[in-house]
Amino acid sequence: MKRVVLRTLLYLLLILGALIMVFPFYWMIASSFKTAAEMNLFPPRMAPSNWFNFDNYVTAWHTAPFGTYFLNSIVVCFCSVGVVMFTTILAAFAFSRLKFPGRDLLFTLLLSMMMIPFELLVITNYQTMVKLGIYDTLYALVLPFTSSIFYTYILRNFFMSIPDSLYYSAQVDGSSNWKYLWKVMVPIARPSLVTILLLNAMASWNSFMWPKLVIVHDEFRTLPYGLFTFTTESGSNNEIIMAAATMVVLPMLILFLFARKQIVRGVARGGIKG
Amino acid sequence: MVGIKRKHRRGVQRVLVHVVLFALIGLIGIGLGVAGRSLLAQKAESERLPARVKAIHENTEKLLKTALQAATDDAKAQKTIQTGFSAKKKNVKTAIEDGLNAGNDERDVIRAALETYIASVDAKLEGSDAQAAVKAEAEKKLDEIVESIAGITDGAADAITMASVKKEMSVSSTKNYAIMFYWQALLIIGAILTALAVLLLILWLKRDEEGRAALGALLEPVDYLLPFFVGVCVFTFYPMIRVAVMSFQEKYTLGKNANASFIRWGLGNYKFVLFGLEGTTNIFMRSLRNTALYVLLTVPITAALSILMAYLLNQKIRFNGVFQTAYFIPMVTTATAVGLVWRWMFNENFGLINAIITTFGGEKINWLQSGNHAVSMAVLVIYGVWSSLPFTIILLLSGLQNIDENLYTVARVDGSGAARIFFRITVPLLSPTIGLVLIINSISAFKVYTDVVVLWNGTPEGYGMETVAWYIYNNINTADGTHSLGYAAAAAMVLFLIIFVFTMVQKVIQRKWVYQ
Repeated sequence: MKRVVLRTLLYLLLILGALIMVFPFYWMIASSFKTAAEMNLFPPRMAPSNWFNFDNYVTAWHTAPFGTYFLNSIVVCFCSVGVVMFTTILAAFAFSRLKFPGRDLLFTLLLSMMMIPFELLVITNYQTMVKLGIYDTLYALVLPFTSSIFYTYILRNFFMSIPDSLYYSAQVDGSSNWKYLWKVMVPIARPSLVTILLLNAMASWNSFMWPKLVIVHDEFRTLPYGLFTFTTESGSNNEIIMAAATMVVLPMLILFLFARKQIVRGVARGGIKG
Repeated sequence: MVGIKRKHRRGVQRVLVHVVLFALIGLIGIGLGVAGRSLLAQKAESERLPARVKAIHENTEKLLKTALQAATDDAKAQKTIQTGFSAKKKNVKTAIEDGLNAGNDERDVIRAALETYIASVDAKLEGSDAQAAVKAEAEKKLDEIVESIAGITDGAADAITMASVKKEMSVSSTKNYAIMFYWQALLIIGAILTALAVLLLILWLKRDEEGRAALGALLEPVDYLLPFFVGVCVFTFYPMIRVAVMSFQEKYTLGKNANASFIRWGLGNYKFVLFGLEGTTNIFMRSLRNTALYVLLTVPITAALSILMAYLLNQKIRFNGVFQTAYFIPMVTTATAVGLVWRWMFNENFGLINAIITTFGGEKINWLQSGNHAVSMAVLVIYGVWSSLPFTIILLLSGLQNIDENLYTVARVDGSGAARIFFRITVPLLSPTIGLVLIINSISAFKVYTDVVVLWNGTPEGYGMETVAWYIYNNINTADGTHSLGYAAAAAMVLFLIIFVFTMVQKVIQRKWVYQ
């Protein structure tokens, strides 16, 4: 009897917690289908009268160039993730497999640079963007993020766990380091690479402060920043803002539903906040 | 055997490839540097002529007028002299420009300009008593004035150097700004690479096959690390040093044309940031207080709730996947979008939260716009806890899963109750993870920025909700269009110091609490 009560309590608590975590998303989607009159009801209704009322989406889409924002976000995300993956794989390989003088000292130095807050680096990076003449262009959103110490650290740790014997047998076969990296190590490290890729894509897609700092013109804004200026500049009604927010959140939600395990594993292993 | 031979050949080839590559990039660097320098020199030269024209034009009028007006006591005559100058001012300017452009001797141009004025004044004074005296004075002083103006003009032209042009040029209206601005750096990098290429070539020529292979092996790590290090050096290492230096350059600002300047070296930025200006509110200290309060409230609440939820999720439950999805969703979603949802839920008149409160008989609360600091902080903390729960639960859950199942079994056999097991086994064994979570959450909570900006519609300062990160960003790009980077740098150094202390604490904790 006591067990049943405890079990019930456990599930009740879990369900309550889950509701609290998910509710804002439900509320966002529900609000996005409401009419202006429905939004101004108090107390509010839990569901919109018409779940297929896409008017707010149409209005949001026409008020601000969300298509452009979307495209910018995708371009920036792809370029940044692609370049970071490349530099990370090469550097992680050098730090784990190649031997050269001062390797471990250099790596320790890099790790200690990880605690420098991005807020500090931003000051000079902002100035560099201005001086390079790429302020207010998409280049400014990609260029500072071509290499990541953190991802290199994660991948290097994984590379370290791949047994040496594999490397020596490949050496005897006359395989070059380059070939060994791409033909053996990268395929083995695929789960780690997927993790890095997902974390990086999330960070890039959701980044807000840097675009807010270096982008001025509408045509170069990415989704989070575009959404923000949409709410501050146009002063739209909440139902339209909720429709816009839904459009911004949806790609990440879908990604999460498909890749939950990889993302959770990555966060657990890396210990960084998304 | 075959492999080793192949390896040798690769090493030998690698050196040559590097010689060519380094030389190529190095020469491009030098080329760009030289081009930048000559563009800068050209720009300086092109700015010298207008400067000369301006100097001659201003000084011919000024010096001659003072001399001529001194020649007479008659106020009316002095006024007439003025009109004589005004009448010819435009013509003289064109004449000077044409004269200098045609490459005429500067002194002749000056003399011609002066004579035009004299003739004009003479014509205006026709029939006046002062005419003769003024004319005589003009003839007497002519040579002297020509000489002094020539001196001034040379000075004005000499003041335009490459350095001054570089400082004044505008990033938005100057073509090839980057290579002109960085020409020295380009030259240095280019020279270093070219020298490296030459050095490698010499070494390669001197060594035997064995040595060449060794050289190649030494070069290999460089290839793998180079792409990574270019980014790290330019966007992490250099800024780190630069900001530390900048924090001691008083009132370092980026001007309208993106030209940086500072007053002097000193502790002025820190003084301003930490103590503020006399008689005004110290915004940084307010930001720091807000941030510290936010950390103190959010981090423990998050940890307590997360331990509970992670413990529950770690039980043998059905629909584990569904629950996990629900709990972790906020982690992936864009903070801007979710912040807007919370803003809507906290809406005073139509928000869901006030609806719940009134259902239970409470009064509507003006959550966001009241300016009541406690209420605003409550909103920020609620949102902060909600959004950091997923991350914290994930870490704690993986910590729980690392605890040896046998310990529980033994405890159960001993007849320990669930509460006793939780507090005597789970919590102590989880403590390293809890410590880690507390530190990571504190560090990231110290950087809170997006939350306040979104919740208060871009103007947290209007509601006394500034944070340290907000202070830094706000100084980089202030509302009035200036860029007080020096203040931002000092504030960022303070933030770094705080994070540094937390990281050190984390290191100590991790060393003490080793998994058993």
